[in-house]
Amino acid sequence: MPVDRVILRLEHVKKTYNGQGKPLKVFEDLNLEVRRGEFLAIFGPTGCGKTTLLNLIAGFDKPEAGKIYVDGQEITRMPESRLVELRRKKLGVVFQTNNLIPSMTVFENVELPLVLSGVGRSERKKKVEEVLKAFWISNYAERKVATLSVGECRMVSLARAMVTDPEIVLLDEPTDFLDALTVDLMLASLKGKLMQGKTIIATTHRGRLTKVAERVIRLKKRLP
Amino acid sequence: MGLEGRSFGTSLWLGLKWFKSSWSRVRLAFAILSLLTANFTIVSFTLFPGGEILPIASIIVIMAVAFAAIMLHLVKLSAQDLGLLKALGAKRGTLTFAVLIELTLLGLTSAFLGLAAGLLTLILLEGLTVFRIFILQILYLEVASAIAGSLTGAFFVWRYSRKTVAEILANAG
Ligand SMILES: Nc1ncnc2c1ncn2[C@@H]1O[C@H](COP(=O)(O)OP(=O)(O)OP(=O)(O)O)[C@@H](O)[C@H]1O
Ligand SMILES: [Mg+2]
Repeated sequence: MPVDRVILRLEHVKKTYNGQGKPLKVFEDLNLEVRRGEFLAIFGPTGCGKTTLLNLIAGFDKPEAGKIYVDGQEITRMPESRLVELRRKKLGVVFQTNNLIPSMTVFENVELPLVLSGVGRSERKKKVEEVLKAFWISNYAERKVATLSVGECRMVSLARAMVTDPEIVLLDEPTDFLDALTVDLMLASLKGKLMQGKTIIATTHRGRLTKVAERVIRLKKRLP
Repeated sequence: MGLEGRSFGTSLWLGLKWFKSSWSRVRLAFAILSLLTANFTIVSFTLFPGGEILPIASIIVIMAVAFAAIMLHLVKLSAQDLGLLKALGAKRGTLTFAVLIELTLLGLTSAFLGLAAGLLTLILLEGLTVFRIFILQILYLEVASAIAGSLTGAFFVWRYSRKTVAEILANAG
């Protein structure tokens, strides 16, 4: 059976936040298709909904209307237990704020997704070491994350996202807080062996990343 | 399938790691709970040497509530981690069970330490005569309140982890 060329499809997605004060419409009718293996950059100013979009794709959040297909499966009405499984098998996520567990070591943080997938100890060790090396952080393996610099935390986040060898990688502002040299290293690693064949969706509010991506979509900020 | 075994192993790993890595956070709770249990032991023996069940039961309620409150607080402190683990693909059951393991470990160790410390104090002050048959009942009560506390914490996690990842992370701040 041929695999579907489109790995991700959003149809008429509508998302409103009903938090404090009056409702905030972030997306009213968002449509998007992403090809398998594509490197897509989502570009836009702060507050335009980049993180919101990634949250919807990962199933972290639900839209009010519309459909989201991840590798052929519609996720907006999927029961939580199946969603969790889909995430574990297909998705790697780097959060804008990293979301590492500071009291655990680098090794333990990167190991977590493998533990949750039930991978055995020796296999875990092998995979974690491999991915730490790919992101130049082997030396930090036993350090507590709380003691790392912001840029180093970013690399740990990336390593954690890639350790399960996911098909789809969601990166929220991966180049934020990094100096020019580290940004280059990071962008090089996104083009590297580990990322071969992966579908990458990365958000950014600066130009650098858009130059290495294959396609860039621009989100505009809705004026209130 | 072996799925159940795998989930159990995952919870065990998580629970133990959490316990170890959050020790600095947990040790204050550990100290308070041990002290409380020691106090309970001493009070039960000295005030109610005959093992009068009603007054003892009323103190045990206070203790159970304290266990529950402290454990609930601990769990709420790690709300952010819960959201993250869910985002990384942890099932609700895995999370709940991991927390149950962590809290039970905390509850039982502090209960036993408190009991031992309380008994030791009594022996030093009053000699070996304090030992009466109802020492086992006190142990049961202490263990029961520790477990009640753990269950409260785990129940909170079970309810809380029903929320979406975005909600959990946004609320945890
Ligand atoms: N939980 C929430 N409740 C209410 N409003 C929210 C919530 N999360 C985001 N928003 C609002 O939705 C809009 C889009 O937010 P989002 O985080 O997606 O922006 P972004 O494009 O990622 O911005 P940045 O580049 O600063 O990260 C913002 O105006 C934000 O204030
Ligand atoms: Mg954002």
